[in-house]
Amino acid sequence: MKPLLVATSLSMGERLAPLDLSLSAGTLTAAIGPNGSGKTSLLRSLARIDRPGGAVSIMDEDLDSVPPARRPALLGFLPAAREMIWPIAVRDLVGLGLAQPDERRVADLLRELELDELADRPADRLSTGERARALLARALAPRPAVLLLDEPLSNLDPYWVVTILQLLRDAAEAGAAVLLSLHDLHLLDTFDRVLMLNAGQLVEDGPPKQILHGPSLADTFRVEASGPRWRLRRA
Amino acid sequence: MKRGLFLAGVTVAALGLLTPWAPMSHLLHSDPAVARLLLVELRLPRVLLGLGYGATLGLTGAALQAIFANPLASPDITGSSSGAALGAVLGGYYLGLAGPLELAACGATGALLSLLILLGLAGRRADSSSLLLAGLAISLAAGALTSLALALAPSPFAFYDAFDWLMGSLDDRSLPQAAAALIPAALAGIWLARQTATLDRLALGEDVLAALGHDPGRLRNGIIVASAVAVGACVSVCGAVGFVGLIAPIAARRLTRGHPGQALVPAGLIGAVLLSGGDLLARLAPVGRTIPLGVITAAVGTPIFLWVLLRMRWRLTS
Repeated sequence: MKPLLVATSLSMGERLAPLDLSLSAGTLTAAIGPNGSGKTSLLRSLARIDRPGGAVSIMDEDLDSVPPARRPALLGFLPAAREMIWPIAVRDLVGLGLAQPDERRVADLLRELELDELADRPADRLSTGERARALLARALAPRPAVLLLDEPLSNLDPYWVVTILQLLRDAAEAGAAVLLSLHDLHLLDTFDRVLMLNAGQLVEDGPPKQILHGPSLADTFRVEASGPRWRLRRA
Repeated sequence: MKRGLFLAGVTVAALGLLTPWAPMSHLLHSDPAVARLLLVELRLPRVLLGLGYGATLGLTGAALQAIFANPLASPDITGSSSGAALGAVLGGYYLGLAGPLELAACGATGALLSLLILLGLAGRRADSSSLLLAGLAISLAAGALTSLALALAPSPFAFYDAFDWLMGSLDDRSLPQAAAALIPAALAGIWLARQTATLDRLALGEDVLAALGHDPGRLRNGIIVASAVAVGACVSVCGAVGFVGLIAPIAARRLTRGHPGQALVPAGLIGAVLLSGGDLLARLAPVGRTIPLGVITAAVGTPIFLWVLLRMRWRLTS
């Protein structure tokens, strides 16, 4: 099947060495790597933020020439930063990314992320976890073909980690390609595919089992599995 | 809501044309031609400038707050009003420019330079302390340079001439002067008002805005240039008036459920009403004296500014 997203010669200065990448509809992909390995740069360059090198097309449309009115249908991006300065009500915040207002979609997402009771609260008065859910709902709202999420699961309690992974799986089954970065390697078997980055290079690309048990995991993360725990890699 | 603000604007404009009523009613009986002159040549430019300058301060304040992601940004606090005043003084006393449009261009240049320096000093998404400190530094430097320029000006009356203009005044302005301030301000204001939806999305951050297909850098530059043109043109004719550009957007966001972009047009309307209302108060001065408009807006604005600061501190520590 033809991939949904095709990126060629994608690069971002010294932070991301040129790479080619494609993402297929219906797949959940994780980007892993130590701090500073280029996960965020990969997501940002795919989302065409800060004039990265290379080209990205989604459903054969070149993102750089797609007008703002069409973008939300193709691409959803969620940054790792969750600060919110303006006192915008949660309900309005969730609708901010929509090309056309869609109250029903917003109401559905508020329910799925259990934000109904907070719907009229200003977004700057939410807890970090609540704000993370509201901002995720904003990214999901336009049902984009490709979802790029930077650490959407960090700082969430286990209930929300599982719930959000299920929501993303639902989005993939509805035909989206989902790529997210994460640090919790225990979650990897939920994914169809794992991209491992180190020092701005894509070092591994394959199914989670292959990467979790492959030799380069210990080299990249400088830890190794010891039963259910991680321990520092022996020199 | 916008209709209510619009009606308030019409009301202050009508009051502005008719206050004080005694000389008007007297002239209407004795010499209708002079009454017409008083209305069209003296009071009309004053009312138009009050509405237009106020709207400019509200609109640019809201737009600057949105791009700096900070509810304390405004033309006066960013130093752009002081920069505009310096530009106009240099143009008027040293370059020998007298045409209102030329002075407006000098004002716009001064405001633009201040905003660019601020952007360099405080950075994008400026936190409050760096924004306030950088703005304060620019205001103080521009103010001192303006005083120096006036002290050394070839005209010995420069200080005296400039005193009431610097503190803001709508008095004794001609229709061509009003046009020089308001036509550039209106063009910039129309462009700014069209950025409403984009500025709302900017609340999600520059990265999300870029992912949604907008160019955050171009938006920021556009807003800085448009604000500089509008504020610079108005300051060159009416002087620097503080606080309206800070308060109007804060009030407007309470009407637009916190949306920084949707607040633009209401902030313009509130600014128009505030400044025109302030000018009505300024007319209460004893005969032969003038109260600078900036004094009135500062008297009303300082407590509100302090309240906003305290509320921000309270929210940060609670």
